[in-house]
Amino acid sequence: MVKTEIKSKKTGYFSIKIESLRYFWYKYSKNKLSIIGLVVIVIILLSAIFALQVVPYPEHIGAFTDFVNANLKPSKDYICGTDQYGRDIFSRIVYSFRNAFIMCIGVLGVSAPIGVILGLIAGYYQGTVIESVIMRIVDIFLSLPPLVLALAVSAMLEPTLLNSMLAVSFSWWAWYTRITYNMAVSVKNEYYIKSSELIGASVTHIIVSEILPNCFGPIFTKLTLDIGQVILIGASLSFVGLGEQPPNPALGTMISDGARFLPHYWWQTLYPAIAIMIIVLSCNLVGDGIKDALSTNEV
Amino acid sequence: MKSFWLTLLECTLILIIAGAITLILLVKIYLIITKEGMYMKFILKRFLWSVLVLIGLSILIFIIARVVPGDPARMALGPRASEEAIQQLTKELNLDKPLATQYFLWVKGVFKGDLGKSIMSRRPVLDDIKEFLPATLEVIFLAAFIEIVGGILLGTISARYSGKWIDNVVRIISYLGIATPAFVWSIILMLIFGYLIPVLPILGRIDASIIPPPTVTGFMVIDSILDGNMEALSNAILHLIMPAISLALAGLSQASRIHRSSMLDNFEKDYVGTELSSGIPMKKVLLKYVMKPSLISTVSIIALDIAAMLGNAFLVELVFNYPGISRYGINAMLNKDLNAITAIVMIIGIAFLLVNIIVDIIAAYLDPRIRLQGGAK
Repeated sequence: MVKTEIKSKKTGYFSIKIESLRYFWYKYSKNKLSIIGLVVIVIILLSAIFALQVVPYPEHIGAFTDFVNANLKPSKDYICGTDQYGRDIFSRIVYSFRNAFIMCIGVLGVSAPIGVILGLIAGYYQGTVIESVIMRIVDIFLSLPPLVLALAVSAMLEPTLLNSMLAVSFSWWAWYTRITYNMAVSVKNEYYIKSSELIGASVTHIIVSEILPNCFGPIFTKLTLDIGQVILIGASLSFVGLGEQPPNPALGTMISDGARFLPHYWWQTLYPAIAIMIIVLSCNLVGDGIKDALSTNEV
Repeated sequence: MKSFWLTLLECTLILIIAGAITLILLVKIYLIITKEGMYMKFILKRFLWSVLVLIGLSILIFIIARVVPGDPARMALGPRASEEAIQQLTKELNLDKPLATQYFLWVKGVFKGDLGKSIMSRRPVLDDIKEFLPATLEVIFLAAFIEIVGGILLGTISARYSGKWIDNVVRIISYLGIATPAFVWSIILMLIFGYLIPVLPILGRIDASIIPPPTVTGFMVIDSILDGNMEALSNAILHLIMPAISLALAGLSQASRIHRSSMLDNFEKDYVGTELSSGIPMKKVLLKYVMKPSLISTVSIIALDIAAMLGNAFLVELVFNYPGISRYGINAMLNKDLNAITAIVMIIGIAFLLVNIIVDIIAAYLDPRIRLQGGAK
């Protein structure tokens, strides 16, 4: 059974059957850490979606002040303590997960399709001007660490969540172009592509139905591994004040606000920091699991 | 006004110090060049290509910095600036001219050793860079050292004891290390070693109570040694530790994972079995015959991470209020200081491209197949 599934995988991702999903899950679930990561991610995701219903103090998410309860230590009422305005830190952390996920969806949803399309075009037209123009631009974008480019761009724009998403996407698409390009070039000279060309298939058909399915594996792996990275960059941007603006909570902003009161009100920094660690760690564990499950060398 | 050649000399000096390792590598390049001409061609091509990429990068960053909604001069000076001040700055930055002319004027300035004036510090950007770059390089050198030693050591240990408890401990540490941004590490370290067990100084480059040594090289550690000022030396080193560790941790973790898996891969190879069966001790096989081929991927990861440190140091230096080029860079970005942003981004780009070439050279040194086939890829 396993053998037939591997075969069907080779003929294209569009023909994924339930069995191959089951086989995927079998390989994924062999790694216990990935299961733990998945469970944590699902919990975080659900609590982010239903943040207003789950958190103990939904009104503390926005502009709310309660100076009587300001800077309280973690206790039964406030499990992560309160900030300088008396807002419950736990509620704000849970709500800021929402922004973290919105950021991921926005960034990867914009940069991956753009990067993949450009990579496919460059790969198909390998050896022409189109390829050199696209790939040379990619080289320029990849000559800087993503954090630097994202900071430079978002500093130039108004500090909002949308603009920081734009800035990160701006520095992110080139990685997808390079991966897709490499895959596209490696399959471009296969006989089935040549035969499609011979029987007069259109360029769009060849790119979308013949080349693209072969690139799905690496792209998908990169996507899952990128989720944690995007959250990290988003937190770094909001740490310097480029991102979601107060009073709305963002993990980076909470850390930098709390850092000003560091030795005394340590919980204001430490808990958001731990939250980032947990969310990125579980994203990485899930990404690793998916990567291992997708790779064909290990059965 | 200093002459162009003097400025150029100073820049070269900084670059040479930045590549203390590069110097050793240059010897290696020479050896490779004399041995294999094909490989030299490849490296030369890479080098020329990098210059082209740098030109592209300068255009990109130039466009980003100029084609923004609103008037850059007005944004840089803030909402309360007078109309005259804005107009003066517009003129000073050539913002009234077309974009292509602005770029041309900037390039002309660069060749004269003039990177423009910083709005923040009201000094030439080059002077700022000369003041702040050595401080960051000090941190990066220490961080690189920690990363290389720690990454390879942890990777080797967990490969040697793979599956044992020690491997699992290392795995957990490295998962945490990768998942945590450098600025979070710096805050956690600050909390532990700055406040909980106050053994390390928290802010700045040197305590205010200590008279800093006279500036010769700009490197506080070297200057203190030259001055014979042991108190300043130990204090400066203590100030370096926490920023360096927070910078190194993420890369260290990643390097140790990669080193572990490539050690294990190589350990499966037939030649290892042959060596072990012919009675060569395990230690020697591991350290001599498995280590070298495994280092190829580890070294590329570490080197690229070290190049990225200039960017990662942005937030770390902010947390520790460390007067380095990265704190300068982030402040330039937040204050929309166009000339400073362009210069910083170019420096990071140069470092990144340079390291990429160095990685290729190291890989060729470690793997003869690469240099005999005229370069990878």
